[in-house]
Amino acid sequence: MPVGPHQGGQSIVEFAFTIGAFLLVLFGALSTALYAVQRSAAVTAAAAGVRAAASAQSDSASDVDLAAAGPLVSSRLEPVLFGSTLERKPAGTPCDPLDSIPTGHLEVCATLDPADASMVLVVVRGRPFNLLPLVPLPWTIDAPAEFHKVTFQR
Amino acid sequence: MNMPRKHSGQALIETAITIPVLLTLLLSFLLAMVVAQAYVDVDTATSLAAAAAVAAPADNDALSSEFAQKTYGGTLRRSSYLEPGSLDNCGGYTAGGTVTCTGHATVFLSRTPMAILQPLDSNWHVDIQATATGYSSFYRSK
Repeated sequence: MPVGPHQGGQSIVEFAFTIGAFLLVLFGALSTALYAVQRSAAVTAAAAGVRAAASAQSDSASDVDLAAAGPLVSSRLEPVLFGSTLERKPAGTPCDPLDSIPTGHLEVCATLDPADASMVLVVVRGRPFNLLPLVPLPWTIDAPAEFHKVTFQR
Repeated sequence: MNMPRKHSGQALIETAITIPVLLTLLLSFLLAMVVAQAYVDVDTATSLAAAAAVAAPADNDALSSEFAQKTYGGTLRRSSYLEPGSLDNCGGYTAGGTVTCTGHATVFLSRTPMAILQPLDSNWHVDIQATATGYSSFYRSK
């Protein structure tokens, strides 16, 4: 049976809806996967950083080495930044609130826990670029890690 | 030429089936990601707790346990969607020995993007557990 003009247009509209929904799911899944990679890396990088920061300094066995966290976190995180930038805050300086961090920017900060000075806190926080803007999901990263001070005495 | 009634109904049914299936797929991806990320968080916190337990002086169960509990709770308590539970068997070791910890936590999906499904179950949560071992040195913490 020949297809009439109504049915031809209908097929195009149906196809547009279906392919649109399919692409939304496909890009949503890809965006989710990329975000999961970045966030997992941030969590493990913060954990590695806090262990280094909680260790004693080479010249002072009773002081933690907060400055050791930044380079370690950077080396773990840089391969998966995908164009976002990572700022290392000076040792002892807390990260900015998430709301004031612009998109495409992350921070790493190492401090003593304000609520318990025996604990070292390393946070990776920020808003990585959404690599697939077709699906505007509000990806943010706020990955804290704490570790008890590891100091030594004679 | 007018569209036959049969074809008009068919298009509606096709769309009615396709859209919910695709949306369910997308939500499934998001759900899997949320639970996987929560597991990464709990696993990391448990690993840190095990490492903290063996960073305390050897043969001091109370201090070792305190180091581990504070590390586990401190790492997870800032999470907006994850509530730390118990940390079992974490603390107390002899020099050169190991500590194996099991951490528990609950993911509250109502505090995640999955909250759009909350009307289906207002108390929707997933319990997660992770195990990690810390290895101590013979030459530390006399």
